[in-house]
Amino acid sequence: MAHAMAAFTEKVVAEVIEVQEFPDIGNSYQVKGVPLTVINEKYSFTGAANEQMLLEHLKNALSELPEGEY
Amino acid sequence: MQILNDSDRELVRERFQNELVNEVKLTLFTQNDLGGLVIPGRECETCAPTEQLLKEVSETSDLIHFKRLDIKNDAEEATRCGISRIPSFLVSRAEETNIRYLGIPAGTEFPVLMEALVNVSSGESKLAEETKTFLETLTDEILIKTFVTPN
Repeated sequence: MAHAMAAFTEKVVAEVIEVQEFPDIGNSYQVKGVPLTVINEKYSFTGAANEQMLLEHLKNALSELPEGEY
Repeated sequence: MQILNDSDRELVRERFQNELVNEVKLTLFTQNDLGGLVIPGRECETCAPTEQLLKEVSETSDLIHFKRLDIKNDAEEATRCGISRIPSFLVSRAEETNIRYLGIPAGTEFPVLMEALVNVSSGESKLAEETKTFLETLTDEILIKTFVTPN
C-alpha cells in the first residue's frame, strides 16, 4: 500500500525491507513481529494495514511530530 | 536455474499484458560476480537469486526494463538512490527513487513487486480520493519503512 502511495507522489518514500536478509536493520528497529511499519523513523505499528488504516497512521504520525519539525 | 515456474510465469505475463501501460524501470543494485571467490564481509547469498528473479519478471513484458548496477562501481548512483545494502532494487518511471525494496521479493512478498510495477506503469492510481487529497497536501517527504518476511 505504501508503494501505491509512492507511485502517486514522490513525497512518499516507500521502502520494504526483508528482515531475514538484513537482521541487523531489523535489530536496530527492534522488529519483533511483521509486518512492522515505521513512519519517519518515529512512529510505528505492527500488522497489515489497508489503505484507510495506513492513511490514519500517516495522519497520526504527522500530528505526533513536534511543531516546526515539518 | 529458473525461479518462476511456467504456470507462474504465464500468470505474471497475463497480468502485465492487461495492466501495464507505460514503460517501467526495475533497477537492481548488487555486486559483480566474484567468480566463486568468497571475500569475508562481501558475501551476498540472495544477490544472484534476486537478479535472476527480476530478470525473469522483466522478460514477461517489453514494458519492463531491467538494469543491473554494482554497489561499488556505481556508488554515486547508489547514493543518489538512497541505497547502501544489497540486493536492493527500485521501481520507477524515470529517475525517481522513492520506491525501494531491500532483499528478494520471494514467496508472499512477490505480489508486492507485481503491485509496484503495475502501480508505476499504469500511472492510474487506485487510491481513494481521501488518500489522494491527503497526499496532495504533503509539503515534505514521508518515509515509510515496512519490515517483512517472505513467509
